[in-house]
Parts: sequence; C-alpha cells; structure tokens
Amino acid sequence: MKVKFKLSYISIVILVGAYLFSAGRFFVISTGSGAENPEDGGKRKVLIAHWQLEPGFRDGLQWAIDEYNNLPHVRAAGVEVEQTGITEKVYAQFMNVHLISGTAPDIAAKGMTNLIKGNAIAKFFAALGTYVNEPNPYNNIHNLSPELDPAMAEYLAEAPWKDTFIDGMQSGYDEQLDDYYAVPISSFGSMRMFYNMTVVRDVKQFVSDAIASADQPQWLQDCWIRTVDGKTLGYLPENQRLMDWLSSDEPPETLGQLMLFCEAVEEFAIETGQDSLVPVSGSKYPSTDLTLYYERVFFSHFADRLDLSPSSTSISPLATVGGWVDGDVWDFNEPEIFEAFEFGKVFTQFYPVGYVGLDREQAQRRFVLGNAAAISTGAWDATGILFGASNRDNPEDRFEVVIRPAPFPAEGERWEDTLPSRFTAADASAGVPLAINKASKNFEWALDFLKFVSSQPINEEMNYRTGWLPAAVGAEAIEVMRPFTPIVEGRPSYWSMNMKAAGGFGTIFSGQRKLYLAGQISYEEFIKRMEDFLAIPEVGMKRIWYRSHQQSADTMRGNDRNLSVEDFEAYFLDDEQASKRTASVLFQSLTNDEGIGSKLLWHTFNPGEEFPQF
Amino acid sequence: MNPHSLDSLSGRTSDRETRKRDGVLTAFSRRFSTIRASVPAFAGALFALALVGCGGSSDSENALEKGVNALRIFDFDEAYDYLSVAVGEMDPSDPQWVEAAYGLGVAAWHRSPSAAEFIEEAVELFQKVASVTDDDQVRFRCYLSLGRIEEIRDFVEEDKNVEGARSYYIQVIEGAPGSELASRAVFRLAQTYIDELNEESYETAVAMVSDYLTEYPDVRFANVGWQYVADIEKYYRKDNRAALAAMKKAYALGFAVESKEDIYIWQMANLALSVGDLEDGVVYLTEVVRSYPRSKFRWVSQQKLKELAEEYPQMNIEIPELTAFGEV
Repeated sequence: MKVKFKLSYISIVILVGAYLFSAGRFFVISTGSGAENPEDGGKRKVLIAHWQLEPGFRDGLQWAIDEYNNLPHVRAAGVEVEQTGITEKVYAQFMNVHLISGTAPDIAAKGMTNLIKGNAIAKFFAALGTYVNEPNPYNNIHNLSPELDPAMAEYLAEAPWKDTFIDGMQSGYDEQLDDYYAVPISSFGSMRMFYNMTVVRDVKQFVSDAIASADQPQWLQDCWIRTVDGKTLGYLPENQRLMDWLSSDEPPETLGQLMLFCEAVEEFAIETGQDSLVPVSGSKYPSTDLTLYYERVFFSHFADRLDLSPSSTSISPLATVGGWVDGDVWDFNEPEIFEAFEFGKVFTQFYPVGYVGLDREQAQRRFVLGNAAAISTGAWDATGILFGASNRDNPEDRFEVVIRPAPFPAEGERWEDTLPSRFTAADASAGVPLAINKASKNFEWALDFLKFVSSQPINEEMNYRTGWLPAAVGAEAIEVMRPFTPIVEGRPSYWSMNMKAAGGFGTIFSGQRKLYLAGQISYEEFIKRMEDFLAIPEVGMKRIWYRSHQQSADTMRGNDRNLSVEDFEAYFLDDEQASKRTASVLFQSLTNDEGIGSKLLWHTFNPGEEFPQF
Repeated sequence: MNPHSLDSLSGRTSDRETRKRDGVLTAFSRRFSTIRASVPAFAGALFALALVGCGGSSDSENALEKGVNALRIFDFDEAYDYLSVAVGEMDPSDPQWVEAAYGLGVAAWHRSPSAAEFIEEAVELFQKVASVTDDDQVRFRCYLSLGRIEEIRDFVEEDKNVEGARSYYIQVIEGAPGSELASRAVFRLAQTYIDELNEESYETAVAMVSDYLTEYPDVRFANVGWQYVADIEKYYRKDNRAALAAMKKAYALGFAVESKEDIYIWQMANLALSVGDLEDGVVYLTEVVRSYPRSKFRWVSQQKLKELAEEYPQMNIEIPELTAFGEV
C-alpha cells in the first residue's frame, strides 16, 4: 500500500532532528568533551559572557584576555579565554536557559536575572569564600609597577584578595548566603552631570549680559527667589556667589545656578534661533531623569517616623505606603513631599518635549549632537559621550565636556531645607561582577583569570582602555573618569521612602506622577487617583499588606532553608565556615520570622484589626 | 530519573482524550488525529533520548555523596532523589543511615513547591532518625526541625500547630541545657510568643531569652539572643533604655551579622542619645566614623558629632576625619 505523504510529517522530522541534535550536543557538553575543541588545535576554551556593550568595554577586556592568553603557563596549558557580549535585552533569558541546562559560559556577569537569585545563586555559581582570604598571586610585588607607592605595593602583595578591591569585594558578596560569588572588575561610580561647555560659556555670557542690562528681562526676574502670598518663587538670590560663578569657567555649582542656567538656555535658544537646543537631555532612562535623583532626597525626611519594624535597615515600600494610608505617619501635603513634585514639574520643562517616550540612546545622541546643554548619567556612558562630542564630523561642531556632580542648593536658595545634601557614596560598589559557573569544567582557569584581571596593574590598564573606573585598590583612574570618584559626604540612601509597594502600586504612582509633572492633572487629582487605587479591595492597600507579608514570609522561608543546610554542613560535614554562618542566618530568620515585621506594622497602624486575608 | 515526569506526561495525554470526548477539540485538532495518536509513542521516544542525553555521569558515584552535594547547593529536588536512593539501600543500623535520612528529611521539607506529602515524609524521617540515633546532637536537631515544621505554614492549606512546636522546643531546652541547640530552641520558643503580638507575650519572650542568657552567658548564639532581645525592646515594647542595654551585650560579644555592624552601632548611638546617654552616644558615633569607612552612616555620624560638639562644648568632643574613598 502506498503511504500518502502529508505535509505535517515535515514538522515531525524537523522536531525529531532538532531534538536529536540538541540531545547529542547536550551529551557532548555534559561529558566534558566540549571543553577542548579540535578545530582550535585542542585548546581549552574559557568563555566569559557579559552585557557590557558600551563603547570601549569589550576592547579593554579583550586586551586583558590577550595578555592572559599570552602568559607562558596559560599557553603551555593550551588554555584560551574568550569573551562574548550579549545585549542586556536577552541576557537574562540566555543565562537562565544555559545555567539551567548546564551549558552556560565558564564565567558570566552576575545579575540581570530574577530567576537566579537567593539560594539559587549557590546552585549555579561557585562560592569563592575559600579563595578570597588569600593574597592574589598576580599582585605579587614583582608584577606591580615600580612607580607604585611602596606601602601600597606591599599592601597589595600581602592583603587578602577581597581587600584589594575598592569595595572590599562587597559587590561579589551575597548576604543571604554569606559567601562571595563574584569578582568585580570595574567601577561605575555615581551619577554625574555632563555639560556642553560651548553652550555653558555662551549661556553664562547671556546671563551676565541680562543681569547687567538696565532693565532685566522678565525670565531673569522670575529666577530671583522671593515670597509671594506665602509661596516661595524663583530659585536663587542675586548675590556675589552668583557673580563669582558667572565670571568663572565652571558649569553650575549650586542647584539655584542650575535652575537659572536652564531657564537661560531656553531663552538663549529662542534668541539665537536654535529651536532644537534644550537645557537637559532627559529621557525615560532613569539615569537621565534628574527629578528621580532629587526626589529620593526629598523623600528622605521621615526615616525616624518610619523605622517601625526590625526586619529592614531601609524604609520598606510597605512602611512607606502603609505609613501614608493607614498610619498617618506622613502625607503628600508635607512640605518636603509637595516640593519634590513642585521641583519635578519645573525641572521636566527643561527636558525635550515628549521625553517620556525617549530612550537612553536618543538622550545621548541629542547631547552629543550639541542639542542639549547638559545630560545626567553614569560613568558607563562617559566613554561614548566623550568620544561622540570630540569626534563630530565637522570640527566646528566638536565641544568640550565637563563632568560634575549634580548640584545641591546653597544657602539662601530654594529647596535649601528640603534638599539638604546628596546621598553618600561611601559604600559604592565595584561593578561588572563576574561569577564562575558551577558546572564549568575549567573552574581553576576561570578563577586564575579572575585573579589576573582584578590584579592592580592589569585592572588599571584594562579600565584605562575601557574608559571606566578600576575596581582594584591602587589602580589609577584615567583623568576624565576622576569626576566619577564616589563622594563620601552625604546622608544614607536607606532613609528614602520607597513607593514600589507590592501589587502594582509603584506603577500607579509612577504613571500618575508623570501625568502630574506634565500638567495633565492637578496635585489633588494625583493624590486622589492613588487613594482610589488603594481603596480597591481586590488590589488596593489591603492586598498590598497581604502580598508584602507573603513576600517577606517567602524570604524567611529561604532563610530557613539556608539554616537547615548550613547546620547540616556544620554538624555532619564538620564545616567550620558553615557553622559560623549559622549565627547570621539565625538572627535574620528571627527578626522577621514568617513576615512578622509586616504584621507588627499592621498592628501599629491598625490596632485591633485583623490582618487582611485573601 | 524522576518518575513524576512520566506521570505528568500521561496525565496530560488522558486529559487531552477527555477534552476530545467532551467535544472541546475543534475540527482543526481532528485533522491531526494521526499525530495525536502517535503522541505516547513519540513521548516515549523523546524520554528514551533524554535518558541517553542525560546519562553522562558515572554510576559508580555514591548516591549519598551526590545527595549531600546537591543539598549543599540547595538543590533540594536532586538531593531528594539521590538521598531517597541512598536511604532505600541502607538499613537504619548502617552508620551512614542517620546522615542520609536526616539529609533526606531536610530535602523533603524544603522542596519547592512544598506539598503535604513531602512535609509528612520529612516529619516521619525526622521522627524516625530521632528514635533511631543515639547521638543527642542529631536527636535534638530533629526536634528543632520538627518544631519548626509545626510552627510555620509550609504550604497554603497547612495549619500551624504552635503548641506542638513549643513542645518540641521545650524538649531540646530540657534535654540539652546551655547548648547551642538549646539557644536556638529558646529563641524559637520566644518567637512563638512574639507572634501573638501583645504586651504580655512580648514580656514573656524577653524574660525567657534574658533569663536563659543570664544563666548561660557564654553559650553559643548569646550575641544573637541579646540582639534579638534588643529588637523586641525597641520595636515591640518601645523601651529604648532596655534595648540599649541588650545591644551593649550583643556588641560586647560581637554582632552576628558582621556586614551590618556599622548600622547596629549607629542604632546604638541613637538609642543612647534618645535616653540622654551622651557619652555613649559620642563613643558609638565616633566608632562609626573611625572604623567603618564604607558605612552609609559615616557622614551623618560625623555631622551628629559636630552638632553635639557645638551644643555641649564642655564635652570636648573630638571630630574624627572622613578618609577619602578607596583609601587603604
């Protein structure tokens, strides 16, 4: 009998074929025969995956890789390190799939994925606690530059590996697991303002001329701080500090000067017919939206009132939102809170129209093309911006960029009381934490490479080429990156209230905030819409209580798991380190046992009422 | 190989047959009846291929060792599979049975998602280990685990059994007085009272832990216990003076969470200042500035010291300098 061919058979053949190929490849990899590739002369490949696709990073890392691959003992062993950059849009999925299937690269930048966190980190990445207390052999005194301060050289040669990082390797430390799981190789520094100095100089002259004019223009008069009907208007006083700044070659040094500068840029653009010039290149990318940066400081005045449960060192979203709705601990009419939105409403007018629809690249491009006087972002974008500004096709379009911290109000300026200081960066962490895949067949080589790349001389040169800040103690940053050195002075960011409460309130807050800042709703309407959402029985405040409690109970369940395993290791396997870790895990387990912190908050804000159940 | 994967596969197939009988499947699905009919055979082929694909590891490795290794990396499912094999092949008289069975109990307890059958299995294992072992350390660990299982809700439908939990904890406290296991049992027992969220129960919990630590001042986890008491005094009883006294004891013994020492010392400074203990307040603030260069509370500690120096010139408060970032 003749079998009739059906088109659908093709799909079965393709499916079976694909599966056979996949199973075969998995078999090859899982048996380790993939570690050496005959096509590469039998070389053992050590692959690094990361998502740092910013200009310069891969070149800098490749230099370090090439240096390592050329080391005699590495060549003799036939080992070759390679990197693969993966866009952050798919990095999480890539790592999830490959870590779970056991086919992930030997070394991978840790983070991005929400799936591999908590004690799952221990499942997929190798713990490095055993190695971090030994000196890094690549910091051997003979490897270090003779120009290095002798005391520093001696320190680096003898110090435990973890103490040779500017953050004490905290960025690789997992508090819940109480062990080190990653090795940072660069630093991001803090957010900074980038100024187009051509525009800065022109606009400062424009301001000076306006001040000197017999009849000051209205826009300038509106900038002088004053009180009208009990309400503060304007930004700064017309005083000697302002005159000194105007006669200097510095970008704005105080918040009042920044506001005046932005107002002046708008007027300057109109007078000179530069329709596309805006004061600040804002976008939906958070680092380019300065209002978010300042808002966190505006929101940091109620830490004493909201420090109500022992489970957390920072103000939780539940304490924030519950403290407003149920606890009457604070409200949106507090001057500090109201001013956060007043500031936001004024400042977003300095952004391009429709900034909420613009992304990071568009914001950078606008600045690099000379169509914005300033942009705020992190050190990771510095190389691209500086290169772009100094390499415009037309030499006349090129401009000098000066990088400065976001300014804060000086004495006598508006928001002096509500924006008292920046947040400290004393605890700034190094970045690009590279972790070793637990399933790697090349653990020893991966570890060796991480020691190499984090050693002072290599880390300095790599980051010099990358244009980023180094992670190693004693490694000098390139001149243009020095402005990103963390500023230790400032209040703790722990004090800031957090609106990202469970159950979608964060999204509601963020959406309504944008509408208010854009002038589409009144402040009263903004508050009412949030109140209306929180009053909905199914999704509102009661649901937030319930979900927050569930989340903290789940976290504590993770602590129980840790405690059981650490105790098992301590007793049955005689593991001293595990025994030490039990004290830390036990304390954390007790302080918020079964989410008791959220129940205590509920009890404080709603005495006598039953905790919400769904 | 996990037999559940076969069960679930056949479950899906029968469900699909049911839907067909009920007329849920459309004409589209009927066109592919040939494919549907071949699903079980195809799935079997895939399963066999999966066996081939995954069968790379050596069979000679010990199931106990593999189970323990899986447990150490929190892979409870794999630990459960291997340790089930190990326990199944051993007799309770085997010297390694206790370790294997206890480990299996831990794996069954912490598998995710949790289910009644796994919790029941964990309880049976811990009870059996406790009755078989002649090692008190293991027996009391079993009681602590059993108490914890009774105390918390492992899955939504499960009911708590606080009295059952307390009974286990008391057995540990009475059976191993002054030991680290008793410390853990005392704290857990105290926490069952804190959960009641009333003043009387707070008082009971504080007395329970304080009395125990006073009787056994050098016991392991005494630092954890005093800091726990400090938290209860500060956050539940709003007694800053008592909280400070307990924190001082924890501080003297060394805080359990080393990475948060600066935060705890900052908290101690605030407690001291809140009860008018200026001298201690200054000592703690100075400690944060001098000893914790990476502390978020360093600058505010220095600022507070400046304020105090201005307010109380007679105290001759010395203001320590902040070192620059990254300075060794």
